[in-house]
Amino acid sequence: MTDTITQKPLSRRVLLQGLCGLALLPVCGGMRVSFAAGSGDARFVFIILRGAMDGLAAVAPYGDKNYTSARGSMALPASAMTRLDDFYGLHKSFASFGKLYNAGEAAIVHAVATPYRERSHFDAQNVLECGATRPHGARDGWLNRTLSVMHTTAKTPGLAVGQTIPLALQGDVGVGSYSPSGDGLPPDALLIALEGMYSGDATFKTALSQAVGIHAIADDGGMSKVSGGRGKQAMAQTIQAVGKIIADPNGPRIATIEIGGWDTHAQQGLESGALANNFETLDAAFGALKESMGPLWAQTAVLAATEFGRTVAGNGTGGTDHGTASCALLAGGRINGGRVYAQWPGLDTMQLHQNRDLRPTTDLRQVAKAILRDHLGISAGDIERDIFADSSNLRAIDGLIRV
Amino acid sequence: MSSLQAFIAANRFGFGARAGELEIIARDPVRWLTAQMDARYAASNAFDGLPDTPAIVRGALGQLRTMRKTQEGGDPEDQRRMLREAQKTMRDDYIEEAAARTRAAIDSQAPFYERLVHFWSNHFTVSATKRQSLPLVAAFERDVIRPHIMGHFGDMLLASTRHPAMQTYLDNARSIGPNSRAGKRGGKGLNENLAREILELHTLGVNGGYGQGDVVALAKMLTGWTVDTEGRGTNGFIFTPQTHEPGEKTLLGINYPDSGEAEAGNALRSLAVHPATATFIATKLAQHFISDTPPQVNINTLAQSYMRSGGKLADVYRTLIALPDVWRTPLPKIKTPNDYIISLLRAGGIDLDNRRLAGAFRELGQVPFSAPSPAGWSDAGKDWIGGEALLRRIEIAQSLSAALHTRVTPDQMLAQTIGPAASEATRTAVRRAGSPAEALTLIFASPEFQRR
Repeated sequence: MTDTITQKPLSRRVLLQGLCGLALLPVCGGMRVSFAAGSGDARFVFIILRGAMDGLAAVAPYGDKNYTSARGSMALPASAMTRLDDFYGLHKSFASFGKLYNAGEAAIVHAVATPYRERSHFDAQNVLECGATRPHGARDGWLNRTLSVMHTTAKTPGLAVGQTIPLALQGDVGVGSYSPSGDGLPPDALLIALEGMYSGDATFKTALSQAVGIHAIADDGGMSKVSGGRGKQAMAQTIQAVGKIIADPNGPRIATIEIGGWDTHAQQGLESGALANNFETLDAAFGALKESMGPLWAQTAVLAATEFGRTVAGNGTGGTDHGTASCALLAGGRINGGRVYAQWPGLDTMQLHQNRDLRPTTDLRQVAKAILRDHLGISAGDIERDIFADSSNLRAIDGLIRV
Repeated sequence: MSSLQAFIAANRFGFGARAGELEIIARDPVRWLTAQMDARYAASNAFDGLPDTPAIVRGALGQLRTMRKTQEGGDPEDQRRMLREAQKTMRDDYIEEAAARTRAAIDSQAPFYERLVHFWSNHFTVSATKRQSLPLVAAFERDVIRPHIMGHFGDMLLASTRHPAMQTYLDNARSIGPNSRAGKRGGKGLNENLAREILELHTLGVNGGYGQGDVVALAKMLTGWTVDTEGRGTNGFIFTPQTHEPGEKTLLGINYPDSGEAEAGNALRSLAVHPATATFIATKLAQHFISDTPPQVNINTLAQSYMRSGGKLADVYRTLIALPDVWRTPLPKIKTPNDYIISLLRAGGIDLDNRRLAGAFRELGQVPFSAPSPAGWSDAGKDWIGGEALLRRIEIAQSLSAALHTRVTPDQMLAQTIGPAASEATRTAVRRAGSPAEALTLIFASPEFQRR
């Protein structure tokens, strides 16, 4: 401890720039450079719903003549939903999402599924995140591959909300994680020492430099620590902080949010209960993103999707077992909203997948391809070569993105 | 034997060294590990006074049931208060249980044994994230995992499937055969959850060659296996014939004649010695103790040992320790938050109170007995080291250093923990630190302290 380095005090900003290896804010004559609106400003938030969300409870096809008989005890009473039209009803817990829908800024894609047709959560989540046609068909995530063809100037182009990075965002492009419930960066001297110590270990070196990059934006925005926890209030607080980072001119272009707890095998409830509470948490994420992102909400698309749906009929224990198709929820200024996109497959037993599940009529990659092509401006060639290989036969949903 | 091998034994197979422990291990690292496989380590006094499974089923679960039954009548405000109080008691008990488990690992003279407990507890995940399972998750580890850690996998599988924590966590307790006496009265039916996860997560693995028909067959066999709420069964388990699905079932091409409770037991014994199960268990052990991407040859060797011994776990561990690859550097694995916190407290030799201990796990995102899904916690470094996760580890390293810097010098701490493995970059950073507390922080935050 005798040969301590004596160091001129550095400003936080200069220090962070040194560690990151580049200026975090383009400064021009003392003024922030403003970016022109265009695809460079586009933001995409992917909400991963882990555990298999019951899409028929989120958005109930109450107008299907078999709805009540097929769902049985799982059929929602009229009091538990808001009618979107004369066929679909949105679960009452989606108050914020419902407002966005009425304002034309939210849409639903129903009877949608990934190409996976078995019933393992963990393989299904792998497919949802790696973007291949089978489990472990790609070693990295489709969002990371998206970043690799986006040529963005953002220092940390991808951001995972939470402490760690989900497979969807893992890959060659450097991405970061952020959660507003920590103390932020360590003191400057310790930070420099850590950087030196991690210089020979790629894993720790990368993790530290990403943390520094994100916190430079967070600290600049005067972000304060919020308490962690579960439920809709904790979600709203977290996303309020995260939305500001995403909306920063240097903010990440793609972000992920993970929400678990959808595996409702028992006592899932109808108007209220475990599932309704989870809907409220998801709804809070949509509401807080819209509120915190400011003008950049107009340049944003949010997609919430799950690994598969649940059985149409209830099981013996007040819940539902693993199924196939579910629904995806979309919101943001770029979403051509106020409508449900679906080729409805029907709920008659003969119309179901293996006589038990909602039959998928749309591949989730058709939704993702519309976002990639029409929102993020990625060419069909790039999409089909680098992001979703073997998807050339899948048409992006036309008109999903506002042009 | 070199001191590097002592470091590997202490970290790859344990939770890191306590003060002075590396010297002891260095005398014979292999023997230090095999000696821990002795049965006397099965009992730890860390759990003295904590209730066993039948006591919890009678106590906490009974209380919840009584409250549900009386909910119809009475003052609703009164009932809400009672429920709140009961839930608070359960949460307090749970925090005490989690602390007892962690202290057992911190204080253990047999950390390899404790690592195996945590490994199997994660393999057979039951999680307190489900309210009905919360009072039972710790007892599950004590009564199902610990007694079978060195025995046959099939015995552990059977004990796990029968335990009320598993029965409630994966919803089998209320699964009813559609053609059983209770099922014919209508309104109730089969729940596939436990059957599917037994095949996918506990035995064959997802590519183990089963289909939806096998899931349904096993679910039918498991009907009638349920929680003993009346105190008539054993260890919280009871078989109720009136809910059991009658008739012959076919699982993986084998016919199981109608034989009530015995059907599922026979099926589980058969699954336990299936070659796909051997490969699945071998892969998970190799990923846990060797590398996130272990060499296939190591997996094969472990699977052969499993098949040869009929799933005798102590034999498989001996095979594991004998693999030359497990004694080599580099250090490819990164400690999970659970193991990192235990390593810190073993190195520091200090105790935290229950609340602060619980807080540390919460901060790092891995609260004991609360995995987010039946698949358990991830074992892969890439799922634990993100930018934010690393900052939290550094924060915890800082607070431990603040408590320790007047009691131990950085030179001592470095030597007794990461000495044999410390890189030049780590040594330099520690040497140049501005204060003893900062030097300790750097040791605890070093790659070598977090790797194994």
